Amino acid sequence: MTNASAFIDEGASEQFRHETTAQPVQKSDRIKTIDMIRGLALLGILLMNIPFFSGDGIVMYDVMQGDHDTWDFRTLAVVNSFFDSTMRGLFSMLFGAGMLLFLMNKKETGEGPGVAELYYRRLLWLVFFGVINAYVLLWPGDILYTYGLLGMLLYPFRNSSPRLLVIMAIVFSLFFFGKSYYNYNEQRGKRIEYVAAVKLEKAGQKLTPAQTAAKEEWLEMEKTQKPDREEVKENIAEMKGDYPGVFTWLLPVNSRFEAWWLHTWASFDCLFMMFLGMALFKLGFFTNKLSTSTYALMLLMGYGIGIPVGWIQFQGQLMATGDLGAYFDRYRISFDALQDIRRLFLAIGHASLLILVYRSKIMPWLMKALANVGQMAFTNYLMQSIICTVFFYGYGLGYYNKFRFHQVYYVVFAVWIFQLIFSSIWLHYFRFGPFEWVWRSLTYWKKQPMKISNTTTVSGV
Amino acid sequence: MASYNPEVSKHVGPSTLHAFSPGYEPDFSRIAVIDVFKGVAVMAGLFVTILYWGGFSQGMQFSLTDFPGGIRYRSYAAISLLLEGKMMGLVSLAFGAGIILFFVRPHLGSGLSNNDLYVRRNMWLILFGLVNAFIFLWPLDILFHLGVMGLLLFPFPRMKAKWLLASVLLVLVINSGKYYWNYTDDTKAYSKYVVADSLAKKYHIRDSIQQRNDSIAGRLAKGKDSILKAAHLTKGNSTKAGSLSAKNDSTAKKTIDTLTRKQKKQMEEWEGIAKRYTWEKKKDSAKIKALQEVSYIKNWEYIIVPAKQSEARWLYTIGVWELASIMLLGMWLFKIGFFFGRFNSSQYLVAALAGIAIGMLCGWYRLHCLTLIVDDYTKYVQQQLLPHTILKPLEIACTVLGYASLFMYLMSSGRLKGLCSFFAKTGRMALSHYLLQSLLLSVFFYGYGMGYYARMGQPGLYLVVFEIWIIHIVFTVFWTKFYYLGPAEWLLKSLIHRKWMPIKRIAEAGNEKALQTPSIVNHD
Repeated sequence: MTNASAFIDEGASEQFRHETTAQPVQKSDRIKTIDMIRGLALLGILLMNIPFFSGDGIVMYDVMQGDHDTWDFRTLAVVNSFFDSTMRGLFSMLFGAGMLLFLMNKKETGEGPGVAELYYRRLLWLVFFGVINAYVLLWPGDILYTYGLLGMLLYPFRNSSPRLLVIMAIVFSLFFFGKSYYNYNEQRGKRIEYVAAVKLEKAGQKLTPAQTAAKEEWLEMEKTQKPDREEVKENIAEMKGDYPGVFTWLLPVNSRFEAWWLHTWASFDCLFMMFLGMALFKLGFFTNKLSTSTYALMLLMGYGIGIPVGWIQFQGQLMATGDLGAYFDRYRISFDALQDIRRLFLAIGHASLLILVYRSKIMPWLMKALANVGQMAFTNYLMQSIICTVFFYGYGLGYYNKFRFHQVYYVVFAVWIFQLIFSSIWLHYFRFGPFEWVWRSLTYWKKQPMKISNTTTVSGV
Repeated sequence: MASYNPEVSKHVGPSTLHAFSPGYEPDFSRIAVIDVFKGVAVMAGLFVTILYWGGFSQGMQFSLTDFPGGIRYRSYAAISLLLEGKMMGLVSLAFGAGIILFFVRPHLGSGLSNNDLYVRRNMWLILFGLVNAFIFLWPLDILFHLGVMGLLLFPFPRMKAKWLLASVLLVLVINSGKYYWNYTDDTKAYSKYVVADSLAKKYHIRDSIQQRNDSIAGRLAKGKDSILKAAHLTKGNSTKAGSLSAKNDSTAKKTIDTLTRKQKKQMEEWEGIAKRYTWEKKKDSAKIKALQEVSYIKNWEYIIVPAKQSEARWLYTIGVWELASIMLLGMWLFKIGFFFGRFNSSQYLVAALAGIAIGMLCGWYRLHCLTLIVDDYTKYVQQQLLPHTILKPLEIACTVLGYASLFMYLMSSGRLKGLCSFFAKTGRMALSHYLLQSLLLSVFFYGYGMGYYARMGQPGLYLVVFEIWIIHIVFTVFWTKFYYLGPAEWLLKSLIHRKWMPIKRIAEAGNEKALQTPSIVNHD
């Protein structure tokens, strides 16, 4: 659905920055690539979230069902097959990597809270911020809550070998696959029974009560799969209401999401990527340590495999939304099985591309701006919630469900430009983003220095 | 090992604790009382869970209130007052105290830091919980919850005692608040229902009057058309219809002749809520059918639903607060030296009596309200401002505190020594006992095993508890003769340390020493 945050290491990268005086320049480069990729992922996440900020899910459904020769459809096709959940994937990866940075670069002093305690405090506050993001800023797609809780499981793996980390990632991926296979099979079973019952009926046989029930069950399921226009109307009306109205309307959505999504899907979805991110970090992938030809090869592999697979999966999605029955009749395994493969390759492709651009020094100003966005990712993530809810929801400007599908992407571009500029200006004067500062101060339970002093020249990155 | 020696204290991680309350030296050897809690809870808690295990459904439990004087209701109420939520509470109290204990005790074995061992322990507990829920098929498993809570509470052991107490109170208030909040959802749903219902009645009356008038008009006209029209209330015949509809604004009437979809939904919503406290036999019989099926897969397919419900929904809405309040209470008590005999035995006795008395009072209120609710929830919602669960958090906290004081009293005054030491032994292998219970009862009740699910009444189920107790007793007595760790504790410990840990008691001379080795960890 949505996401953000590999911000966990903001403190650590800060430390690195202080070390730049004593350390080779390469070190600051390392951090810069991580911040850059995180910036890219953060901005990219809005691509996936914006349809849910801007209107009811029906908009997407209608685009899928409608004429394919429109800008709406083209936009959807590109976004869905090229970016869907890859940005969250990249973010989860960097969250894992950031956790390693945080834990590796702190020394146990023996006084006060230890590194582990700070780590858990930090995550507990992240969970808290997630709750605020969902219930106060009213963004049900919040990911901070999920990341905070899942991050707590990563601690014992900080010293693990990349091999073990990859194995863990595969285990979670297999669980994901198994679960979606089980669900798909369960639904498909109903379809099979339905088809059998209809066949019998056509042959003029009388159905047993069990067969009739099975038939009705499928018809019911098919019906619920289609959006209910009345409900959509209600949703739009509620979302255009005042703050208490929207709050009350989203309350059950939020609590259902936080309670269930984590348990049923997110733990597999996010842990898969977090473990991979940790492994890739240890292998030097995110830290600009591999050779240019390796990155080029990874780009080729990432996009070469990721894009076609993404396209195939999108076709599957189209078909499933169009005629679910035919989809079940035709495929033994859901196209969702391709999900992890697609995400993995595309995410690696995106990251490799970015690092190659960085190395080629084509657009240094953009790379710098991206790194700034990444450095204050936590602020920017929450800012996206604030901007988008205020822009779209009824208690703000009330543009909910007003735009055509491709038009909401103009909003995305505007937010991107704003965040690129805002982050650069802010970091010119301050050491961290405003919410990073709050978060950090809460974690250490002490007001943190914020302004950039003259002695340490840390401007920008 | 009264106070820990410098040799081992270097294993205590840097993130240990603030000093204990001033003027007071902790004596870890008396910490056995925490094991007593676990031993008691794992055995007595079965009285609460057995009804769920055996298919004596919630609805059936509610129906017991129909005969409040009967022995069945009385035993149910006694268990509810004395044990329900409190045994889980006692485990939580031990768990919370155990968190601090974990950090102050050195753990020899693998050279991993306390922080590492602690996180690993909780993560393995989560996994044990998943196995217990999804493989042993015990949907109300608590190990998962304990593991999750352990991770969430990681930052708390260093907190000062007074802040811990403040957290306890805050969490108790939040928990009560959540119960109240949920109740207001019901009252709101009810008031919406009342509005919709009165509208529906109005339409119904008017429709019937109109229909009568229409049929009169129809008979007069003796035409096919008007009869058809009488069935559908069209604008045409409404002008012909009687005086009542003539008074109404015709356009308004056209739009509000029936309830809107939303209003219908609101009516259905309340009807669903009102049913919550009745015995829905249909729902029960579906469950019984699924669990009596002679197939592990069929049983599994059914069980995973409530298991997920418990791990996702319950933990999120209620569990996290309920467990945190008591765990934090355990931490606070640990810090003020409650478990090390800071108070004298008469003080413990007073605390025990007071805690249990307040707890029982709150519990009585809860049961009293529950009777009213089961009798007629609509009436309850009309009349009562507060839900029956409003005092439940306080009830559990007070009773648990009372029980803890009671055991401290027994231990410090030296009464019932044999019993206490038995419970301590059982508690030291509580995890094994708990998992053993799941295994035995799963095989006994579900269809893939002996299939006694929903085939036993309340007395029969209580009898099963006593039978299981016999197994617990025998298990404790014999196992502890040869091993100093329970099998599950040993497995957990070995997994945490990533190597096989010693489990056998060392021959005679080393015997006592083995028992007292600081490396004995309080698992769960």
